[in-house]
Amino acid sequence: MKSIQRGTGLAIGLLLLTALPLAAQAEAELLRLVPSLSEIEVAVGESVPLSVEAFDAEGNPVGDVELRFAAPRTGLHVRDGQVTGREVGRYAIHVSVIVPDGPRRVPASIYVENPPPGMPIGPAPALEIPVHVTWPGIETVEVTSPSATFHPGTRIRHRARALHADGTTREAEGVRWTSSDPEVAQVDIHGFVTALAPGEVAIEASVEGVTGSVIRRVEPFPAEGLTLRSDVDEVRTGDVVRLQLQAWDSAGEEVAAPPAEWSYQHQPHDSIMARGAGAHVEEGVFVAEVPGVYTVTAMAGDRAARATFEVHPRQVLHRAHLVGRGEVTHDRTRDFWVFEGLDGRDYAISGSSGFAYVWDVTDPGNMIRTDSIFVDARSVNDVKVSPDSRYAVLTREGASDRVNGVILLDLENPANPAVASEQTAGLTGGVHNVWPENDYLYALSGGQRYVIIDVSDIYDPRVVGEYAHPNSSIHDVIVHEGIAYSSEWENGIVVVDVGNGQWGGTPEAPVFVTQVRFPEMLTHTIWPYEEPSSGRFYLLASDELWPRVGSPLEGYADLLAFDPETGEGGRPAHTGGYVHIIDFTDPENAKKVARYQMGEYGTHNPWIEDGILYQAYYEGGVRIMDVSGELRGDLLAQGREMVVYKPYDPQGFIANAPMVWSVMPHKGHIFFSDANSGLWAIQIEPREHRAIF
Amino acid sequence: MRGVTARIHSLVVGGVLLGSILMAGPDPALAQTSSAPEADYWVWVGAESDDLIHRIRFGPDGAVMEKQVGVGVNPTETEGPHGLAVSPDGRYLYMTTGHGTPDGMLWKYELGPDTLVAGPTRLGQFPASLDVTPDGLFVFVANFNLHGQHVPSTMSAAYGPELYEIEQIELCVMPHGARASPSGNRIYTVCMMDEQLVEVDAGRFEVARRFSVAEGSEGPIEEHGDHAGHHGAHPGGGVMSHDDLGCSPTWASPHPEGDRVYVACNRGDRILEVDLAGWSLARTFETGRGPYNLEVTPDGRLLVVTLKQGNAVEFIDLASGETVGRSETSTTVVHGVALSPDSRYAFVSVEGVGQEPGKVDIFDLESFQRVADVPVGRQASGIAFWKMEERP
Repeated sequence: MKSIQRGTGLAIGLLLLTALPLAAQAEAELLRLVPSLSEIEVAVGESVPLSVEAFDAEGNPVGDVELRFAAPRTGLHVRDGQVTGREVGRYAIHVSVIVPDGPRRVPASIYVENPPPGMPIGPAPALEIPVHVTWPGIETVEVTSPSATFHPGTRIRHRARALHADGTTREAEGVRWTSSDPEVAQVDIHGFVTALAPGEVAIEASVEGVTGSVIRRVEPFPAEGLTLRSDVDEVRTGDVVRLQLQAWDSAGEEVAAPPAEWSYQHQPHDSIMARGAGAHVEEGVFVAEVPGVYTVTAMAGDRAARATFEVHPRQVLHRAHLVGRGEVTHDRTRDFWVFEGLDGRDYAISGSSGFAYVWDVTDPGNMIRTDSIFVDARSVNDVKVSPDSRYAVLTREGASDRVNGVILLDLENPANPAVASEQTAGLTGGVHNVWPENDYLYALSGGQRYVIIDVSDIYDPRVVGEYAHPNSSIHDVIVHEGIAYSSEWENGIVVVDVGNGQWGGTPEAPVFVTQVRFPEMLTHTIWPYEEPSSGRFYLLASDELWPRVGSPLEGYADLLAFDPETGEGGRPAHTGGYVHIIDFTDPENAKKVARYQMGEYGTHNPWIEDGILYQAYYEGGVRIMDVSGELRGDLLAQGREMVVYKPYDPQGFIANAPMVWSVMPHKGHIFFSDANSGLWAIQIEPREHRAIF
Repeated sequence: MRGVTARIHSLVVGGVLLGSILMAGPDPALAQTSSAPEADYWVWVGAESDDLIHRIRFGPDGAVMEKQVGVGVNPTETEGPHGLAVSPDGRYLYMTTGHGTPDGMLWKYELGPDTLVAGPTRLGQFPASLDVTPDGLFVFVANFNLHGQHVPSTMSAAYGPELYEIEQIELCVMPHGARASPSGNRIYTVCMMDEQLVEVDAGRFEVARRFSVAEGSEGPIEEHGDHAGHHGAHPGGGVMSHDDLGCSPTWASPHPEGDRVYVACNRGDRILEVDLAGWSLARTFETGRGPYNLEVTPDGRLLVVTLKQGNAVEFIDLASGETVGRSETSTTVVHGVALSPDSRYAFVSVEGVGQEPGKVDIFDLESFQRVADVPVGRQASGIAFWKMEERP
């Protein structure tokens, strides 16, 4: 067997072969490659040797052949005759012949010994060796449960996690659960442990021959009675009810509440036609999606406590009507910002392809375009105005000199802003989004980091700091009370102190606080939200998902205008993603508590004001939602949507195809930008006393 | 825009002008010396700011954009198709998109049906130019990383049939361009901010040699661990600023004979001819303003150079080393060039500015005149020759 790597001198043999007459050369160059292993199994972090021998058409070994080994670098690594596993999965190594230097020519053909399924027998471009990278061996199994206290009759689920020698872990599969004393406690195949009698018991989990265990002591039940305390008898769908389990001894004294299993029973108002029960109860926190009468039960030991209350429809529906438009139908509109100018009138600035448009929207029913600003950029993706309305910032992507950066506009004359300066240092990769504060501007640099710019003098901006998170995948940033929250696609949210002070950060020296990441997150935009009635602090993380591959409605993912010559284009896009609601009240213990998800539409930019979420939901239009109170569960199912408005324009860039990008409430109107039709203003009508279900 | 027939300029059969610099537009009143094409030629070009790739046909009937294909996964964000390369058998188009999250992607289309058949495969930051080895098995992509910070970037090596990334080879700051040697065993790229030509061993997926292109100190760079890649050519070490750059190379392309490679000094307005056997500077050619991309005609006769800042294309006779023609482009910001296999035509992508459409300008390699131009999407950049068919 030859080693995998060969010296450059080994190619001489093929050079000699090329000197043969053409017919002889073609035959002589037919090679058969034979690997030392026809397939390879290797664990992550471990290596196995591999070599490949070459034979000519007569079966004679050909020594002077230089070979090239290719394999997916994320999964495995092939070097110096060793194959090393990197990530669990099934891969292949492809071995090909390196032809000698010289004029352009085709490589030698290769015959493959024992070709894998799908590879033709005979000449093939490369030898393929299947590789299965497996998990490393389990060193220990860790068993956990939410409570270590057991009482007869109590049932608590246990979970097993496998730990490898290299410190990595995996959720254990194929776990075999056993109890050391089934008279004391039994365990089922799902890890649910049911205590039966006082005593000590070991709960064991075995995975791939490795066993882990925990000792549980089953104590006599500590209470004579249980009660569930609730402060409410009637609530609305979506209202969170916090129930308190209380335990009492025989003397009527309250004792520590034992661990309990929670469940609920639902009696719909209409017992025939109603939807099935939809509610959540977790550790005494209950929320209902469907009206009806609910009984929540807490079971502990052989006792149970119940609380019953009625859930009414939330009834927050309103109607909205169109007030006015600022039409842009020749191009796609992107972000916009509406503000009160220094002259007391109201304005909006919208971004487009290479232009920013300035609108006087003092009368939203009569929006007037007052200026058009040419920008050397193919995309002015983001437009924002400082809180003091002193300046606006336009982002650039696709500049002709590839320098990109941002443009600062002086808003002293808001109807006709002047370009104050450009900032390009550190921003050449393109700026997709920005966040302006009065004195500092946070500007994204490509998808890598954000640059912090002192804009106290917009005619002389200065870069003062930056934050680059390891393996960043940044898409947006928002600053709230000195904390920067960056949206990082599948990496979730990165939280950085840029002046809050609690963690010692400043704009010049940002300090990382934490990263929040949950499954399914494709974080496109964050909105921090302090909910006053509950005292909770939420982060609303809106996804952006293209394409919808794998969903029942895959739809289209292009935004090309209709071409009458070809009949192509003009199709409404289909997007995905939803709003993840994360309870960030305790930054060290962030928890995803709710979602706002439309099945067939995808989210874009949000805004929250006075307990109302204004969500740009792309082809789902503008969706306005009641987010008052504590948030839990499925907000859509709870009937929290107040208004849905879809902009249809038969003359749109794509006709009659809502594609809402951003939304902002301003002085009683709701402004939004639609990619296919420009700016819109709508107004919510008073609900008055109508019952609108 | 599909179906738009572009202008094809007046063609006059005649001789070839050599030895003098021409600055000629497509005005038919000028003495044209071009003969009409007798075959049909197809190229693919990418529109970086429209996320489109276009198929252009040029032949006896003129030049036309036959087809456009939308690329990318997120149509509300510009993903930026930048590099295009056609496999040697003409079956596949490989394409890079520069803007990702943050890494860019490699894609593979089957030509004919023009269908995405593999990818996207995540590469490094701003994967830009690419090339396919002659055996069609390997794709090499320069990860240009223009995100502002001068940190070493890489070249991705990928396995074409299955489009997985094999290796990221650390090169230098802002590697730009990727062209395979005729054998496919070496890949040539340049480092814009490190003043280097780099030769990559395509068999071992590692740097083979480095060559300083810094003005006045052209020559081999010895490998000293990590120091050779970044700042190795800086006379005093440390971080180079743009003002330090006397060459600022943007492209390298080998001669079809495999014995020389040509480097475009974008800032220095010259071309370096590097002898590969001696790894030494052989000749220097002065050019117009801003040589950017270049290619050698398959017959080895001409070097065709795009002048990004000069808004023109320059033609250098490689035997004499003299410029034999320079012709203006139809719009500004000249980018890439693809050559027909019969060495008859050069297809040049021109970006344009702002909302202007990009262009594909077509130049006759005998008359050095621009004979047609076709509007395409905005910021036309990567361009690759697909195929040529003789008319019956």
